[in-house]
Amino acid sequence: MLVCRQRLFPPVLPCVIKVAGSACGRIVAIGLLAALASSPCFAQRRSAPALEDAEVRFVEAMRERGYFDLTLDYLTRAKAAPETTSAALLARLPYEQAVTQLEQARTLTGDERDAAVSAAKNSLEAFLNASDNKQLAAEGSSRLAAALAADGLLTLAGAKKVGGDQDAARAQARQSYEEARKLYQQSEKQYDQALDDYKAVKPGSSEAALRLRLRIQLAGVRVTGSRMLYEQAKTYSEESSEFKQLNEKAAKELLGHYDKYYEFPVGLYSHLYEGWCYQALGQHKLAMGCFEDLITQDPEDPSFRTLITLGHTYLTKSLVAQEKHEKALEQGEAWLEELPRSDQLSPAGGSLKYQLGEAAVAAARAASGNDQRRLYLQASEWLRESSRTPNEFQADARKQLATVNRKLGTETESSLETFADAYQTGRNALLAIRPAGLSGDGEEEAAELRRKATVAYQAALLLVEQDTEVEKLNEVRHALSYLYWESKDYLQAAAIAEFLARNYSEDRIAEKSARLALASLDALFMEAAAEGGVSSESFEAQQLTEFANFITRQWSGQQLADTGFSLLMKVALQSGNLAAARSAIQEVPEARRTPLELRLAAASWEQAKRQSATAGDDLSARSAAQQARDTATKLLAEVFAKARNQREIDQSTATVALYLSQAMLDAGEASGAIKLLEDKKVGPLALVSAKAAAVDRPGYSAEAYKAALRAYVSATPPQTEDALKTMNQLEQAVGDGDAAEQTLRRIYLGLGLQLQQQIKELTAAGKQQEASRVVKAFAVFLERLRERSGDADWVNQQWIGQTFFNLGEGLATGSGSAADASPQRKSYYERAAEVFGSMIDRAKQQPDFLPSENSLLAARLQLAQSQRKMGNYAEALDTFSSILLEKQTILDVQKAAAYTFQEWGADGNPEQLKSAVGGGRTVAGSNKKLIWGWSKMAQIVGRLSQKQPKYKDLYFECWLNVAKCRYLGANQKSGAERDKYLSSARRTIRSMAQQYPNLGGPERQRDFDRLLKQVQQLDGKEPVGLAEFK
Amino acid sequence: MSSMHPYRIAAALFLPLLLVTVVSAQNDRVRTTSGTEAGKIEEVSPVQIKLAKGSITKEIPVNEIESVQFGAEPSELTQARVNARNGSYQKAMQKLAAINLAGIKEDLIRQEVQFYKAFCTAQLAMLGEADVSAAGKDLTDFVRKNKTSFHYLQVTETLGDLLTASGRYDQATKMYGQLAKAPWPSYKVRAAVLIGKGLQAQDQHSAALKQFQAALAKAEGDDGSTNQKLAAQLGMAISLAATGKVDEGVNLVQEVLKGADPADQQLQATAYNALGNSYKLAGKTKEALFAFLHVDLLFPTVPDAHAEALHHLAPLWEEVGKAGRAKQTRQTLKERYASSKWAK
Repeated sequence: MLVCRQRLFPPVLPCVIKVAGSACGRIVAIGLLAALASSPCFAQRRSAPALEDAEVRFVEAMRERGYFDLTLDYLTRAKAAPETTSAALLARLPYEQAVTQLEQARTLTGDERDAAVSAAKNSLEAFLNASDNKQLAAEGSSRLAAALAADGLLTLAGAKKVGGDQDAARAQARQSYEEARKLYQQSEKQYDQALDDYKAVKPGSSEAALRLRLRIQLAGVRVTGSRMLYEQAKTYSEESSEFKQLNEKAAKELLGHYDKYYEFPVGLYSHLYEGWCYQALGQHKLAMGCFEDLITQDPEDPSFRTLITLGHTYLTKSLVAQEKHEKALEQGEAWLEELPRSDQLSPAGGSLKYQLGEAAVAAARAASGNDQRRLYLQASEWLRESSRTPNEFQADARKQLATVNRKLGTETESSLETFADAYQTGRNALLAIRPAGLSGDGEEEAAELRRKATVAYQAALLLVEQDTEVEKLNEVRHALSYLYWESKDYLQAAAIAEFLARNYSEDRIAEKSARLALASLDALFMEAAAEGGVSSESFEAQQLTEFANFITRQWSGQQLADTGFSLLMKVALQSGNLAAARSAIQEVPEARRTPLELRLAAASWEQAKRQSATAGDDLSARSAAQQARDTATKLLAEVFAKARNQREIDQSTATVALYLSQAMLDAGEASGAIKLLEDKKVGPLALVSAKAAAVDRPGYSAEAYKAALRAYVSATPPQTEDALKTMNQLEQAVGDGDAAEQTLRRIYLGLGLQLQQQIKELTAAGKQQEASRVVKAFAVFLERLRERSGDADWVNQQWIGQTFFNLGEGLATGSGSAADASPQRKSYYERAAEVFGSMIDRAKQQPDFLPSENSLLAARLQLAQSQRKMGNYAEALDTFSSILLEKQTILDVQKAAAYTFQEWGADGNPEQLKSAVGGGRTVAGSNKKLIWGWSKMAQIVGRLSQKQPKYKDLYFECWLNVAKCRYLGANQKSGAERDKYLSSARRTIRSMAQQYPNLGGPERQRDFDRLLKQVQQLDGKEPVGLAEFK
Repeated sequence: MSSMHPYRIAAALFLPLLLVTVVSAQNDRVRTTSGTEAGKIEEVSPVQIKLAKGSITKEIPVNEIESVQFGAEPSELTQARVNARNGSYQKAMQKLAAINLAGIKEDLIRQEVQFYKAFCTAQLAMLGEADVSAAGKDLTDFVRKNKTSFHYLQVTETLGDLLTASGRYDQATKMYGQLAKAPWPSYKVRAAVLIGKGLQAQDQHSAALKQFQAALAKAEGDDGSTNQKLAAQLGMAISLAATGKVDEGVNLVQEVLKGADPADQQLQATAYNALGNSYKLAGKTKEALFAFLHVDLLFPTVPDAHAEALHHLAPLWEEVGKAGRAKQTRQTLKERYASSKWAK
């Protein structure tokens, strides 16, 4: 970044204003000129009268030392106590504040920097609007312009990463330069106005000196303003007309400034920039004319030497572009040899060395044999030196050095003799990685550089000397850790970074290492989670927890500690330990808790949902799940109340808003949910419709529409039109095509299931009325949907049918069989059967209605299930048989058919129980039974399960039902016949328990135990269950 | 090894304090535990160096010396010293071989070259890359010819190490016992620790534990023995883990790591290896891997510990499904420590 700023502003600004070209470099004015980037080029830091004021000097001194916070604090206090503040400082308070903020911004990065620049901008604008001090106003405008120009450069540099959005960055940078240019022009006008006060001054007077200084400052903003055009040109492609036009315009303006100010360094810098423009346009003769003017300045004067060096730098570049390599090397080297060592090591010297390196490379390419090697060796030397000095080409030098060394075949691990060599080689390679990413085959080159850096740093560790500074050694270790991170070797990265953070926690590198270690351990944790979950005892969870705990203590109260807490919470949530997550949050300062609380609330809700889904019919599990939901809902509501007032809605808040609306729906609060969903600022529907960044992730919009659908359907009265509109939006959001159709089907079915679950939960919570209302409302909605979707596609029809079926299931009580079904429940199964029946009929007449052959089979199965649930057993068995006639081995159909016989038998038709066990419905013309029954199914499944364990549970289910059918038979008999059935049931269970002591697992064991207790009870015995066989 | 005469060496060590006057170049530098002293080395003995700093002569005890660099020494010696310190003994030997001894006028510098040759040969012998007997003979010859060398204590310890490496534990114990005669408590502690380590090498962990406890008792209240105290604790941890008290061992190593100087590479490497071994015994693969990895990545300059870590890492990488890493680790072990017991 430093390099870029150097290029935007003259690398060395003269401390005195001199007349160029004169033999002695006559000093004609006093005053310091602007510091790099923080102030406009050639502008003075502060106006002369202020020099006299001690408080102003004090502020200036604090700022120069980088005590920005202290300075700002001092200025705030000065403002609060005007009676004890000097008039001079009071008059420029907002200005000093803004300048300090701008200076501070230079030391920051990312969002912090943006915020500081923005605050400074506001302060400066406030000052400019309020002040009538023209000179300060002019300085202020140019300082602001400089900050914007620096922004442009940083934006461009930031985008020069592999994968960076360069087009967007260029556009943004261009805008910054345009704004900067306008501000420079504004500053120019303000300087003009300030000069009006010095129209009639005596030559040689102090006013005359002040006037000259103002003129030079005016020249400075003019030159820099024109240079903005050159910078803007760089935001376009070199082939574009804009690039050409802007460079031409810049060159013309800069030439004008040179003509006017050629006697002053500012004029010469204008000439230098003018040369850059010609160079960019490929007009090397014109460019060389400019640079030659510079190199003929007086070399004895130290302040011109920089300018001359820069002249040589760009002259070399132009000579190389014209393939005059020898001349380029000769002239450049000759000048470099003349330079004192301090100048050789200056940024300008580093730049010249880079261009000489490039010249040597170009010459080497044209040479062969020993000459070529000699030139490459020479290039390597120039480039190495350039890479060690901060200069505008330092990054390029590192990259080119790596290429040259590859050609020379040098710098292998064994060739590194000292720690310093290895360190520098590693560093050069590391710093060349980013520029390498920009070239055509950048990735490959970057990988090679990474390998090289790793080898060099590993070698450095073996070459540590006794007087090697521990900071340097740790820098090597940190770099290695970073390289391991880059290559996704997280374990290695974590081992090194954690060691550094723990053992050198007071050092400069510690915080960076801590972040790297946290990131590496987090990556390991996520990898483990992706591979099948992590428990809190796992290595990854423990390492991350332990280190995050260390971070929270070591960097207590700082942002890094918050990251630590956030990761502690992540581990706790991932391993389902909400209590630990809550504890972690308690350690975070109140003001910074909300983001973590949002995540906790969301995770609590997700966990409660999972708990509900797995609770089944177990009453205590259901009660625990309900409690978890209540707690989670409370948490969601509390944190949402806090977060909804944030200025910007982030992902977590959007998630919590969605979850809260789901929780409200589950609690039967449809109108509240609708209000939240539609809320203009935080409502999930509003966010989706506004395409807000907070909801830009897969699944969010579908979930929001699903919640809205549920809400509209569950509302009193149901908002059918809104529901239908939402369905359309949902379909649009999902899109077209096969994949979209499947997604839609899943969503609709999911919605049906959610409603079913909602109805179940309302029923379980004793909210019968709400449950019934939701069911009825939903059924009305479905009816409406059914009416309007007469020729709707298969997916919609199927959803309607399935949802009717699910509504019936949601009202299930007792055994869930048709015998226990209420009229309302039966009516839903009837409607489901109607829908599936009509789908099957239509498919017969209109084959293209069917998405696939399997779809028809599924519909027939669903029809049969609906018939079964209605209690139309014979019809259901007909339908099952028709399927089995085509595909007899479909186990799901066989099982459903056996259950149908069983339920029919239990419903007062004991003869059907025999078919349930022994099979029924023969194939015409043979004795072969289409429906196998539990007994035959058990045999077949038993064989299958030997090779495919997934069938084991079905095997036990078959035998359980064999015994159950006998029990059900006994239930309908009396006397000896009953005993016979009971004994048979008991025999079956005993036999299974003896053969398979665990009876297929805890759940099946419970089923067998429960059944045996029923048998024992009917037999007049004590219901001890499986204990009877022990 | 028959040519070694440890008792003769020891006898020469601590009886009369022999001082020889030497001529040395200006700007000799003695790096001590508290900084660097520059001046002219005037006299050396097994227990101190006399350094002339202008008109003042400073006596620097050997137990405070970290290294000595002679102003007139050849650059190859300087580099060899760095290499030897970092465990690159072969490289050091190459550098030392390039030195023309006849061209060196100062005795002490010639001695220094001879010491490093003997020392590196001994270290290579312990890694299986040189002959143990020959290495022992070189060391013995060195002390016989240079009775006043300030390297005497180091030579004694190295001789003990060589004896341990060749399974001659009784003699090694006696040799380490000589260290305890040095005039500083930290050497008494060090001797006890080294004897304990010898017992560990013989799988006599109960006896080793007693030695370490004795070492800790000796270190009590002596500021100069901090590192030796940590070494004793570490020894205890290893023996505890080896006798089935894995958790106790792990806790103790972690305690050592908390108190250890991060720059003490030998101690750090030994501690992480102890931690890795303990986790391995507890069947905690990833934890063990992570511990050994510290040695590989951070302390590759401690050759024996590094070789041990690599030896354990290879199968551990395999266990976590990283066959490529395992292969690479085996290759490094083979390349760097081909003759080491850990590579076999």
